[in-house]
Amino acid sequence: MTSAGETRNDAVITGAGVVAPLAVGLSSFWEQLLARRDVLACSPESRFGAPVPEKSFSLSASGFDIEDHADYGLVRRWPRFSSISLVAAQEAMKRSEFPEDAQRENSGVVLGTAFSASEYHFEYFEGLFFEGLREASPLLFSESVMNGASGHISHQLNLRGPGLTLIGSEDVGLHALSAALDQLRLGEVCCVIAGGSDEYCDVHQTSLASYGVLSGEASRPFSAGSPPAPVGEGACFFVMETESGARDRGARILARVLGSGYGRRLPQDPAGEAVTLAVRTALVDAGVDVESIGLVVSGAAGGELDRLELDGLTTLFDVRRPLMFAVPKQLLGEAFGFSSAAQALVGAMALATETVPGFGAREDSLLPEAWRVPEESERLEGDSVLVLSATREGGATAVILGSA
Amino acid sequence: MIAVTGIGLTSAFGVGVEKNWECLVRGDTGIAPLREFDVGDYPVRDGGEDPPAPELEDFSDGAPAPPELRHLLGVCREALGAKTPPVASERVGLAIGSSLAADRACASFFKDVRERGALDADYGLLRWYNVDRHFRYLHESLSIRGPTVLVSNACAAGAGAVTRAATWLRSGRCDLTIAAGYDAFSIFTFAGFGSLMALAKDRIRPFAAGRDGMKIGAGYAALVLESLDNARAAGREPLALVSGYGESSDAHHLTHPHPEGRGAALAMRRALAMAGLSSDDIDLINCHATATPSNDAAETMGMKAVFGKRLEEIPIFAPKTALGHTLGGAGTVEAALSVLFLQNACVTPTLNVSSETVDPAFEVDLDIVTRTRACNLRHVMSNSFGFGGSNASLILSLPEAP
Repeated sequence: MTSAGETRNDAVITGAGVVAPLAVGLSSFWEQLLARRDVLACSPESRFGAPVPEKSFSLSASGFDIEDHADYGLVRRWPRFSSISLVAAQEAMKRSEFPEDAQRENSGVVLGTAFSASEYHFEYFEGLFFEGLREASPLLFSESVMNGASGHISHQLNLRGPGLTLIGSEDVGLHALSAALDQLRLGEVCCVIAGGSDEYCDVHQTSLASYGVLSGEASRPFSAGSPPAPVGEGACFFVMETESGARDRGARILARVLGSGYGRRLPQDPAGEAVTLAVRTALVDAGVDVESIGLVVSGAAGGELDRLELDGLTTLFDVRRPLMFAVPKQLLGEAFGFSSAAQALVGAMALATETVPGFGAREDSLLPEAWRVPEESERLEGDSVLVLSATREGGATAVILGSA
Repeated sequence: MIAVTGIGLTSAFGVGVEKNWECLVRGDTGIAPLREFDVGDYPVRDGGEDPPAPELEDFSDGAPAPPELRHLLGVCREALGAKTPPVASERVGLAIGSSLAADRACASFFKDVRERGALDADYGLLRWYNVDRHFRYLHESLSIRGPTVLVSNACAAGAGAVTRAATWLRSGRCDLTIAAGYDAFSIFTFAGFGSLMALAKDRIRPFAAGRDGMKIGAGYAALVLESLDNARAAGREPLALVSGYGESSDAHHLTHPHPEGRGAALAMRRALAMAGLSSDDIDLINCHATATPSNDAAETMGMKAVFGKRLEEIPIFAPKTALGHTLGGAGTVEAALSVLFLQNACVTPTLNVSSETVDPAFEVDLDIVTRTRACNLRHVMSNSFGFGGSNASLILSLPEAP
C-alpha cells in the first residue's frame, strides 16, 4: 500500500518472547497453549480494598516471580508492567539472534498498551489525594509515565531508533505491529521490537467489571451465553525486520507480516463495520484474498466482541467455506495490549508449526456451520492467517501473517 | 510532499488560532496564579490552566463529554475548517499525542474514593480512563472511520502524533490525517514534576544560568495533513509542508537526557536527511527548552553537534516561556506555532531571557528572539524531547508557489 515513490520493504518476524500466567517463554507458552492448561485462579486480594471479581489470569496467582526471570537489582523498583515487558523483549531479541553491534541507531521499539503501569499510577494518585501534593512520589511519577517500559527496553537493549508507546484498547498490540510494519516498509528502521503488554491491576479490574467489559468467571468465546473473559496480564514482543535484511543475515523467519488494516464504526453503521473495514483494508494491504486465509486468530472473549467479529466477518467471508478460529483469550483472559499481541504470536506459531491449537468443545456455537473452533489441535491448512481484534467502543485492527 | 492544510490551537491564552497568535505577538504570558487547583502552601502556585471548554456535543450514548475532549474536538474542527473531511471517511486517520490522555478520570475517581471509600466508590468513573472511549467520541463527532492511535511518548508525544499521521499518508493508508496533541493542566504532572524539583519557583528561564525548571501549561493543537498534490488538486493551498521528521531514543535513562544530547542530535539529523536539507538551511529552531538544568544542557549539546558554529546565527524561540510546558501536546502545539511563523514571516518573543542570559557553561552565543522579529523563514525545526529518552524533530517548510 506504500504510495508512489516510496520503496516497499516486506517485514518478517525473526524472534518472539512472552510472559504470561500460562507460561513464561515462547516454547513453554506454546506447549501449554496446545495442552490447554487452565490457569484461571482466584484474584489476588486487593491492596486498595476494591471489590475485585472472583477469578482472573494474574501472574502472581500463577506463581510468577520476577526474580526468576530478570536482574532483580535492575528491576526491583520498576512497575511489573516494565519488568515483564523487558523480559519478553529480551527473549524476543535473543531468539532472533539479531547481532548486538548491528544497526542500533536504526532499531526501535513499538509498545502497545491500554493502561501501562496501572498499579504505580493508582498508587501515586492515592498518595496525592490522601496525603497531599508535597507527598507526591518522584519514583511512582517517573515510573508510571506511559512510555516508561519502552524507555527501559530501549535502554537495556541499546535501541536508539524511534521508541513509540501506543495507547489503545483491545486491539493495541496489533496496532504496534502495524506501526512497526509501516516503519520497516518506509525504511525508517531496519529492526523493531514490537508487541504489547498490560499488567493486572485490582482497581482496573473492578472498574472494567463494573460496566460489563470483564467478568470474574471462565469464558467460552463464540458460545452463546458466555460471559466476557476475566482480566489477564502479560507481555508479548516480536523482533520484526525487513525481509531482505533478515535473509541477508541468515535469520530464522517465524512468519511474514503481510499487511494490516484498521476500521472504526459510526453510529449509523452495522455493528461489524469496523471489523469489515479493518479486514478488507488488511487484505488489500497484504495483497491476498479471503480464500487464502486458513485461520482466524480471533479476539473473541465471550460476549459483545464475539458478535462484532462475526457480524463483520460474515460480510467478507463465504460462510459455506470451512474456516478455523483460534480463541486464545479463553486461556489468557482479556489483557488488551498483551492479549492482542499474543493473538499474533498464536498466528505466527500456527504458521511456523503448521498447527492450529484446540480449545475444547463449544456448546451452542455462534459460528456458522462451516466455521469452527477446533476442539483438539489440528494441522493448519493454507499459508495465511488473519489476526483480528475488535474493540467494544467501535474500533478494529487486523494483521495478516504469512508463512516463511 | 506532505502539506499542512489547516491548524487549530487552544492554550492557556484561550481558544482558537487567532486568539493565541494575538497573545504571542504581544508577548503575553499564559502563566498565572492557579484558580482551579487548590495547591495550599505548595511553593509553586502558578501555571497555564485550561480555558473554559467550548460547548460541543455530548457522547452519542448521552454521556457528557469531558472538557478536555471538547477542547480536543474543538481544535480538530478548527483545523478542518468546520467542514466534513473532503475524502472518504475510511481514508481519514486521527493520530493523537498525549502524555496523560485520560488522566483526569483518575482524579475524579480518587476524589470519589476519598469521599466514599474504596468499597463503595463509583468504579464506572474510570470508564473514561479507556482511551478507546475518547477515540469513539472523536470519530463519531468528526464522522471518520480510518485509523486512530494515541502516541504517549511523554513530552515528545505531540510530535509523535505528527510523525504517525505523516506515516499513514506516506504508507498509503490514508488520504487525509489529523495530527492532534493535547494535555490538560493536571494535578498529576504538576505534583509529579514538583516532586522531581523540575518546576520553576519564579519565572521559566530557558538556557539561562540559574534556570530552575518549567511551568506546566494546558495545550491542544491539531494539524490537518494531506499530500501536496491532493491538496492542490482540490484547491487547498497548503499553509506549510512537513518536509522532514526524525525520531530517536536516548537509550540512556528514564528521566535524564543523554548528557551529550546524543539522541536529540540523531533525531535532528534524521529530520534534515528526510527533508533533503543541510543544517545551513534551517532558519529558526523552535526549541524544546524546558529550562531544567539537564534538559537545556543536553539540548544545547545536541544542537551544537548538528549545527556547529552556525548555531549562533540561527534565531532561537522557546515557546514554553509563553505557554508553559504543554507536555504531550507540546510537539503539536509548537508545530502549529512553526506554521504560524512561516505564514506570518515573523517570530514571536521568547520571554524572561535574552542572548545575554545564556548559561556561559554552554560556550555558545544563542540568538534568542526577545521581540517579535520579521524573518524570511523557509525551514523551521521544531524539537521535542521527553521522558523515556524519546526524541522527535520536525521540519516545517514554506511551500513553493505552484
